[in-house]
Amino acid sequence: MTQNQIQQEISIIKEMIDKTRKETAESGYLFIFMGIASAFFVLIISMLEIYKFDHLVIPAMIILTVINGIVGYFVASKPVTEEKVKSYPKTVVLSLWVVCGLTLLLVTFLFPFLNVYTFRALGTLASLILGIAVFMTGIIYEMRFIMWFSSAWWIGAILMAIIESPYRFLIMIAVIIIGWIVPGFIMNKKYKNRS
Amino acid sequence: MKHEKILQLDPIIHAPTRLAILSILITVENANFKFLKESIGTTDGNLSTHLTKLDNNGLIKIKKFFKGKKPQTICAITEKGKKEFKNYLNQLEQIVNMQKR
Repeated sequence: MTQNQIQQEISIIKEMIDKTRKETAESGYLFIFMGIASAFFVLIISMLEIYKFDHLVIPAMIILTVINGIVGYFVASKPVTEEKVKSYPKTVVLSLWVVCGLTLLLVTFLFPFLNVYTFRALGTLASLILGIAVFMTGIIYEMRFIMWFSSAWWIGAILMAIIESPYRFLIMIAVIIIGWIVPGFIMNKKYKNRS
Repeated sequence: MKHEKILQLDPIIHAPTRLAILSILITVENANFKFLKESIGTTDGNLSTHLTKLDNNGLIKIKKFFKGKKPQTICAITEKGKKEFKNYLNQLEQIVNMQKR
């Protein structure tokens, strides 16, 4: 086997792996969409609380969760149905977010009604769960910057537990921007540069 | 020694198209026929022939189904395929090392 043949074989392997990596790169659209939708969700619920429309908070939470779920499903499933390649990281990340989403549903709609904790703890608990999901996404995709940005979720959880103010929702919105939307845009920029 | 190493290179993997197919499938859970064709830059018939050969040797598994009215072909590497591909890379590395000496 000559040096040329070996180099040809190695270049085939390298080229194919590079092409596949480009195809399976994460676009960040789901992070951006979920971030914006969740910020909108938190804003509406908080406004209802501040302006004393307490009786509307639970119905609004249910309606917004359903809308977020449906739209999120379409945003997430569109690339899946069109994708030509299925990568291990994408499958693992999708499972991680499904599990965290289900946990978040229980934390929001079951345990407070069973008096396990009050609604005041919701922001802190949601922040901790989402922090784990974002941090793990960073590990799976080998994107260090996501891991750093995920620390915003834990800092936010602590702040929301300490601060007693009707404007606590602003902390949650800031956390969503730093811990979700900004990493989503960085991911998207990297994705576009790769393509 | 050198000749032994050359003889050990798996002829099933050695063909450029089959090597390209396995290089793609080793990094993903599965890939469809269209992606393989576009990435490798080959014809339907040629790709089909090589996929069948890899499938017959148990290195990949092929799943065919219909999505609506369109036929779909999904390919994934098997455990045997992963092992053989790893062996192939090791042998390639050994040959490179031998040529360096």
